[in-house]
Amino acid sequence: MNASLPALPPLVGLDDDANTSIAGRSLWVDARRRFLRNRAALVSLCVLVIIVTVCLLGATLSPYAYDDPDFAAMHNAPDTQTQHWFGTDNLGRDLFVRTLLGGRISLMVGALGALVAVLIGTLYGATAGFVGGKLDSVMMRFLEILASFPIMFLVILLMTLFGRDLWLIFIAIGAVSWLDMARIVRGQTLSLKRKEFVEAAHVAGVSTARIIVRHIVPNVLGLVAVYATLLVPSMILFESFLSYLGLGVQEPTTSWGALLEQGAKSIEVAMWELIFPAGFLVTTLFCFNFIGDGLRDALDPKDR
Amino acid sequence: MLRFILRRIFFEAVPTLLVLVTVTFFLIRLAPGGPFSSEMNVPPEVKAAIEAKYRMDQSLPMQYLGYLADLAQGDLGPSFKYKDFTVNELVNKAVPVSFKLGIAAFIIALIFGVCAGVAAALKQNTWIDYSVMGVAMIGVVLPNFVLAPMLALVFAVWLKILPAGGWEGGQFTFMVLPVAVLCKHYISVIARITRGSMIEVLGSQFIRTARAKGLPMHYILRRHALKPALLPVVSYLGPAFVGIITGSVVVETFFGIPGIGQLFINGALNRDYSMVLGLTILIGTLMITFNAIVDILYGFIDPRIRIK
Repeated sequence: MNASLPALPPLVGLDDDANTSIAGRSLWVDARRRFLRNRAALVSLCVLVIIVTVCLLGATLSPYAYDDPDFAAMHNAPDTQTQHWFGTDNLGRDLFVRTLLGGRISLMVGALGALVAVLIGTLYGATAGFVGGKLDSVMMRFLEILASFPIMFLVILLMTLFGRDLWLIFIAIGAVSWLDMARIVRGQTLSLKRKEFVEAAHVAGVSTARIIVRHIVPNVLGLVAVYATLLVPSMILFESFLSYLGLGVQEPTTSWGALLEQGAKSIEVAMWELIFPAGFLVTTLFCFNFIGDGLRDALDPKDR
Repeated sequence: MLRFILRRIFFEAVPTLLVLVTVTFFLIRLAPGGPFSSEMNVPPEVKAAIEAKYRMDQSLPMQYLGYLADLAQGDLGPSFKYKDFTVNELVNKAVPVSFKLGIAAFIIALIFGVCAGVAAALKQNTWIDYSVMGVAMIGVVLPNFVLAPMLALVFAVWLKILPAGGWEGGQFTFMVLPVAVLCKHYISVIARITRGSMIEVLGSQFIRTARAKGLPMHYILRRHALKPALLPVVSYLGPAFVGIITGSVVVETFFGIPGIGQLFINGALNRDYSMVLGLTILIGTLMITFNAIVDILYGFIDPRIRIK
């Protein structure tokens, strides 16, 4: 443990030559250094990059289309000869291409859902935290009411009422997942507002806008990044859940959840229909979780 | 204490419930297309009769007040899909099934989760700790709809020792796999929470004092450490309960169990508005009630909460 620690930086003022080397160590440089030391997170990042790349580009390698049924080749096992690398599904469609398409949809829902949640949550939380007072308590009360709703059931209700549109899934999932984000950002903003370095900046005559940009935002941003990373897998899971129940994406488009549903149905005749989408989904979820944990460790100021 | 309980119920639980009912009700009425758009050619008298039955002939505010009045008596109205049944009849049949499943999973998750967490905390940084935490990580990440088919494949298709689905009135063998899938996530989370708080408690002054007095470890655990260490677990019980209901949707669909989860999904797939509305309200009520109970319980255990 001791051997891997870098030498302590020289004290400021005692050794003037060393000042330049300290100046470069900003919050982000420091965080990156710690993140790169976290092996699980680093491996996860590489695996995730591979999965994303394969999902985006892999389909061009296969001669098959995602919605092209072949009734002579239903439930075929994986075979390199026929170029059905992952086998075929119940309609004889190529599972390799479908798994990758499902990955694109799942990852897109994850990323966009998290983006919506982060935007709403950060704005809401920062506003409540900064303004404070009456507005803060009203906004937080509203949040509490929303938080005690059966969110998943509301989303299903929305899907029932307004049809199963992919865009609606993004918005619905994102719009109901910002609650924790808002709470975290508000708490962070509140505590930052009273920190000495903010007061010091005030005393030194720095404008409020500049304080927000220079001091508040960078400090909140780390936390937002961590929770955004952890939000993505829960978004993917949520979408898979909806699709698994038949309430998400509709045929012939697919997602990992929809593939899993089909795979679960034909598990006795065609195991690969479950195993490949499940492998991709679970690996992706693991990667995001490890990366999120790694980011949290890297950005946690308590640990410094 | 009484003031705390009353405030928790009348200023938090009841208004939240009212908002939930209102929001869901108007969402349903704002939905495009009537629930009967499939029935084109019915005589006007029949149509009028149907509309009267579903209270469609009244103005929107009247419909809302009527629904509220029915709700107050516990009446969720007639089902839009199964026209011979009321929502209540269908729900009454499904609730005991889900309840049995949920309670079993809940108890198992609590017992195993706490035990695993305590064991990991006591043997911190040993192979016991690492394996408990490793399994817990898998348990949190692996979704129900992946685990369920896999367990079915192993135990029903390959080993043929357990049925792959069905309910049969809740016989033991039919409950094993669904309960296992349902409680997996909560065992993991409870184990993690217990381990974290137990490590913190074991490091505190009063435990060191107890050990310095020469008390045996199992006595310290039972009398001193367990209660404060379980506080975070208690506050997790509210979300856990809700999660088990939610999780049972997948489990019930996969294993073909006739509970609320399956009823809800079928309602959603068949656009059975009154069913979905009724179940959303029912589950919301359960959730809000349970969260209130947990908060009040917490107030009993930890006096600091009451004052806030």
